[in-house]
Amino acid sequence: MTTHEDWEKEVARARRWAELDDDPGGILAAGLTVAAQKFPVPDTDGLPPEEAEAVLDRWRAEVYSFLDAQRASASRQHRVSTQ
Amino acid sequence: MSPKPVSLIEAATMTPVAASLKPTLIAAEIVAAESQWAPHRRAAPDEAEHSHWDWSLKIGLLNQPGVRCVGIEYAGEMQGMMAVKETGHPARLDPDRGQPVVYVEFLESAPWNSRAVVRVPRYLTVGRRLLAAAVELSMELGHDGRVGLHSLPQSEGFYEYACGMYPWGQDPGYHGLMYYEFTVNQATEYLRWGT
Repeated sequence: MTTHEDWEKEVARARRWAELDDDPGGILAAGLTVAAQKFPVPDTDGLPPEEAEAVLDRWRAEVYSFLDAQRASASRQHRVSTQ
Repeated sequence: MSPKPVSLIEAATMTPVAASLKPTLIAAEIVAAESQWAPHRRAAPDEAEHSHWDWSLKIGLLNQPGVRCVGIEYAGEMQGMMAVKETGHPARLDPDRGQPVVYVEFLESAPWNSRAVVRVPRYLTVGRRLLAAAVELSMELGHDGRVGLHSLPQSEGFYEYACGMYPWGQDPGYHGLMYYEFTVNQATEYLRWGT
């Protein structure tokens, strides 16, 4: 149960946070399980070493492409927010 | 657990609104939220970035033990959602290294609250309030407020400088993304902020 005092504290904190205006919104965190589902490490069992390495190279490229896109987006947001 | 009133701030007027923190969303609620969010995502200037994320992947998380999805609802719309794991993640920082943390699997505000999508968000503080909910849940579970997460690169400054989480460092076990943690003291300070 939320008391009047609890609610006053809740609102005061929200006001303070809003004044700081530093919450970028959007996707802020993504954890191990989500990433594992999105970018599962490919199964290379039974593949010749060269082929296994090629499969892993493609996987790394996919992951790093995603991260690069995230960084580029962050950079654009920073430029917009400082203009 | 029942829904709890939480405050967001309407950006246009900078006035507080009473939203509802829903502590355990079911898959149907996540799907309904996604159906509201999707058209706004498609209108984003950088659609490609957002299309990487698919809530159906996250719904699958709900079948795992100890995972719950938390949402903040206001005006009939989900303003933000977060999935957390209640067990299985030990703290990496002293003095509680090895003690359980609540691990944030993902945290996202609605597209209309994101500056990556709109110039002026509708509601402020959604991300911060969801993170506070993770701390509160950690306390309820007896984890004393400890929370851990991997930040996307665009959010590192938010967690480290805005929220005061401690950077453990780049995690070689997870694509080099930065891992952050609230210790007990940091978590307590975070909840006290502004009050």
